[in-house]
Amino acid sequence: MRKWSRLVGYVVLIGLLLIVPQFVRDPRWMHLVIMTGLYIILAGGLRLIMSTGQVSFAHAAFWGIGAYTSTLLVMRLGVSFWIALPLSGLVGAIVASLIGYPCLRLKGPYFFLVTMVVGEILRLFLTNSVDFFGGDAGISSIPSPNRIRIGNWAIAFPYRSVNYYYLMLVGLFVSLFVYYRLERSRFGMICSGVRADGSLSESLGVNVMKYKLTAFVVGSLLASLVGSFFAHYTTFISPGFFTFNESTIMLIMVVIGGLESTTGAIIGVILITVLTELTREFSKYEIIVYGAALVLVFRFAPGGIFDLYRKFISRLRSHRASVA
Amino acid sequence: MLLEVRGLTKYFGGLAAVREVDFDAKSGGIMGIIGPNGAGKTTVFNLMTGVHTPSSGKIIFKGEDITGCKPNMAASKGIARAFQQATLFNNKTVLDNMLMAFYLESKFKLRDAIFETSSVREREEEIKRKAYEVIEFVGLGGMAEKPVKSLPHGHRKCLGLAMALAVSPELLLLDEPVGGMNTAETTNMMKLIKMLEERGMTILLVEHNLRAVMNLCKRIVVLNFGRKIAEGSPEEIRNDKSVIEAYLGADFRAA
Amino acid sequence: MSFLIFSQTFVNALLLSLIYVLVAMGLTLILSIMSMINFAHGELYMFGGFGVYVILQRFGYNYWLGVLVGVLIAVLAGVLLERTVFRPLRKELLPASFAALGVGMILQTVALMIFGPLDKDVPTVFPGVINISGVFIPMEKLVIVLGSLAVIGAIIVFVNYFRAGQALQAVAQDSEAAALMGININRINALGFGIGCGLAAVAGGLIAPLYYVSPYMGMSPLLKAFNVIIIGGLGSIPGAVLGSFLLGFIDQFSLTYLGYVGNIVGFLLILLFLLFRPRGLLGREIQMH
Repeated sequence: MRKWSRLVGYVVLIGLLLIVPQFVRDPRWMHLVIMTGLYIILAGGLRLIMSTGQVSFAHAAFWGIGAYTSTLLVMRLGVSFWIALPLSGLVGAIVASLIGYPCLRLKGPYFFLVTMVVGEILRLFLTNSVDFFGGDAGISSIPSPNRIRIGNWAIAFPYRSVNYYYLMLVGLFVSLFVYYRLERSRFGMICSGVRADGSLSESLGVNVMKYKLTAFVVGSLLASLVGSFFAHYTTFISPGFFTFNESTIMLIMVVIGGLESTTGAIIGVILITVLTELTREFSKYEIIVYGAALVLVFRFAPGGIFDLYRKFISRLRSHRASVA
Repeated sequence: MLLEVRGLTKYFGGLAAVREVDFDAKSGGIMGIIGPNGAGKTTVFNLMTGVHTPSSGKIIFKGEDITGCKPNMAASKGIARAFQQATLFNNKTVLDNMLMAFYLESKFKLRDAIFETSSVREREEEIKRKAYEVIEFVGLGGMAEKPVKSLPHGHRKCLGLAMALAVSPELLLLDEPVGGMNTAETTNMMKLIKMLEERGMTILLVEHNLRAVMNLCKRIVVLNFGRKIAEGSPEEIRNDKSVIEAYLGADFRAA
Repeated sequence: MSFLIFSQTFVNALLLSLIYVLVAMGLTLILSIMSMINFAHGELYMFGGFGVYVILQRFGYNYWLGVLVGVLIAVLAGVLLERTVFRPLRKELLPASFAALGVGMILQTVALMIFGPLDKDVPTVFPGVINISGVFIPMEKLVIVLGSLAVIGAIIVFVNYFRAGQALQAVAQDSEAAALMGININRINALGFGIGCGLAAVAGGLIAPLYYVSPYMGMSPLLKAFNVIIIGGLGSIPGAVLGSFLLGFIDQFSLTYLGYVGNIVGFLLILLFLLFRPRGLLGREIQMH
C-alpha cells in the first residue's frame, strides 16, 4: 500500500516540476530555478563525497574543469556540445582518479587542506594562461548546444530558452536517481560506516580506499557534467566562478542540510538559495546570514536540518505510540 | 598447524613492545595469552591483524605468510578480531552494525548499488537472515533495533563478538572478552566462547581475568615485557615460577 | 646576483616569515588543543589591524596602544567564543571547524558594516631607514621584526617555564591523560584559544602600518597559515616555526627572482608535502573522537 502512495507522490512531483515553466515566466526567476537545480546536483555529489568522511574544498574546481573542458572542446575543436558533455564528465572523472588516490589516503584535516590547495592551483593556472584559457577575464560567447533532432521534432537552445530548464531537469532526475540509489544500497551503508569509523570498517574487511575513491570520482564526474551544461547555458565562464569561496558555499549547503541523506543536501541548497534571495537587498551583508546559519546549525544541530527534522518525527512517533 | 608465529618483534621508536615471540596454535581449541599490563599482548594481536607491521618475524596462517597484511586483508583470510574497547558504530543500531560486519559476504559492484536487481535483493535478504541468526546466538535476540549507544557494556562486548563472527573466521582473536564485566556477564560470555569452541572454531584470547583463562584455555602463553616467558597447560602455568614472579599477585594464587 | 637585492630580499623574507610564525603558531595551537581548524583566524588577525586603525588613525593615540586594544579584543572574543560556541564541540573536527567558519563570516561582515569594504591606509609609525653596510632597512620593518621576535620569545618562555604553559602542552599532547592529572581542560582550552587569537591579532597589528587594513585582510594570511602548517606539520609549534621560515623564504625569494610565477612554487611545494609527507616536517596525529 505504501509503495503505491509513494509512487503517486513521485509522479505528482515530477508532473509539477514539468509544468514549472508555465508559472515562471520571468527569465530572471527561471535562471534562479535552473541554478538551484544545478546546485542540487553539485551539492548531492559533494554529499556523496562527504559521506565517506572526506571534506572536499575542491568541488567547485571540478565544476570548473567540466566547464572549461567543454568550452575548449566546442570552441577550439569544433566538437558538438552533445559530445563535449560526456567528455567533460570523463575528464573530470580522470582528474579525480589521479588526484584521488594519493589524496584520499590523507586523514581528516589533511584532505581538507589538500583540496583547498588543489583548488587554488587550478585557479592560478587558469588565471595565468591568458591565451589558452582566457585568464582572469574568462571566456565569453560560448556557443549554445546545437539543435537535436528526435524524429520529426527539432529541439533548439536559443539563449535562456526554457529548453535549458528541461535539460537541467533530465540531469537532475538522473543525478538524484544515482545519489538516492547509492545512498540506500549497501554502498551507502558502508560509506556511512567508513565515515563513522574507518579503522573498524577496515578490520571488518572493507577496502576503505575503494569506497572513498568511488564516491570521490562519481561526485566529481557529475560536477564536471554540470560544468559543461553551465558553460553553454550562461555562455560566459571565468576562474572567479570556481574558486575556493564557491566550494565553501557548496559545503555550507551540504552541512546545513545534513550529511546523512541527499535530501539534506536538497534542503541545504534551497535554504541557502532562499536566504540569498531574501537578503539581496543588503547583498553586501548576506554572508552574515550564512555565517549565523552555520554557527547555529553546528552548535545546536550538528547533524544538519534534515537530521533535526527526522529526530523530531521519530520523537513524535514514539510519543504517539506511548500515548496510544 | 593453523597459526605459526615466529620471532615476532615490534619496536615503537626505541621501545620493544614485542620481542622474539614464538608460538603455535593448532586448529580447534582455545589458547590464551596472558601477562601483566604492558606485556605486549594487544600488540601481538595488532601485528596479526595488520594494524601494525612487525619490525621482524613471521606470521604464518594456514601455511601462508601473512606478515604485514593490511587490516582488511586479515579479515578476508579468515582471521577475525573482537576489540578490547568494543569499538562499534555508535550511532547505528545493533542490526546495522551486524550488517556492516557482513561486508565480506557480498561480492558487490557499483552497478548493483544503482540498479537493484532481484538477485541483489535476494542477497541482501540472505545477509539480513544471517545477521539475525548471529544476533540470536550471542544472546542479543530482540534487541536488533536498539541503538548501540544504549547498550550496557556486556551487551556491547557480545555485539563485538557477533561482528567478528560475521566473516566466518577460522581464527577468532578475542581481546579481553570479559574485561569490565560483572559476574553474570562473565559467565555468559564464557559460555558463548565454549559454544564456539564446540563448533570447531580456533580461538586466541588475551585476558586479565585469570579465572576465566584457566577455565577456558587448553594452552596458555605468558608474556612479560614483550617476551614469552612460559607456555603450557593451565596446570603447568599455574605452577611456573617465572610466571608467579611476573605477576606477584594474590589474584593469581586464588585462581 | 646583486648583493643589494639579495639582502633586501633576505630582510623581507625574514619579516614575512616572522609574521607567518605568529599567525601559524596561533592556528596550530588551537588545532592541537581543541582539534579544530580555526577558520575565523583571519578575522582575528583583522582585529589587530583594526585596533591599530581605530586607535591610531581615528583617535590619534599611540600605535602600541592600538595593537594592545586589538589584541585584548581578540583574546576576549576568543575566550567568549570558546565558552559559547566551541566548548560543546570539543574534539569534533568537522562541526567545530565549520562553526568557526561561520564565526569568521559573521566577524568579517560586521567589520564590513562598520568600516566599509575599502582598504584603509595606516600611516607609517616609525619613519626613517637604517643603513647597515649598504643595506637599507626601513625602520618600520625593523620594528616588526623585533616586535614579533619578542612575542614569539614570550610564548616560548611561557609554554616551557610557566605551569599554565606546560599544562597547555600536556593538553595538546593527550587531553585525557592531562585531565586525569587534574588539569582543568575548560580553562586550558579557553587559555589556548585566547592566546591563539591574540597571536593572530598581534600579527595583524604589526603589519598594519606596512600595508593596509580592510575587512578582507585576513583571508590570504589564513591560507598562508594553512600552507605553513601543512609543511611544518599539524599540531606542532616548532613545526609551525620551521614551516614559516621555509615558506617565507621560498615565497619571498621566488617572488623577487621569478616574478609572480613564484606563487606557484610555494603551492607546488605544499602539494609535494601533502602527497609524500602529509604529516609535515614535525607533525603529529590530531586527537579525534
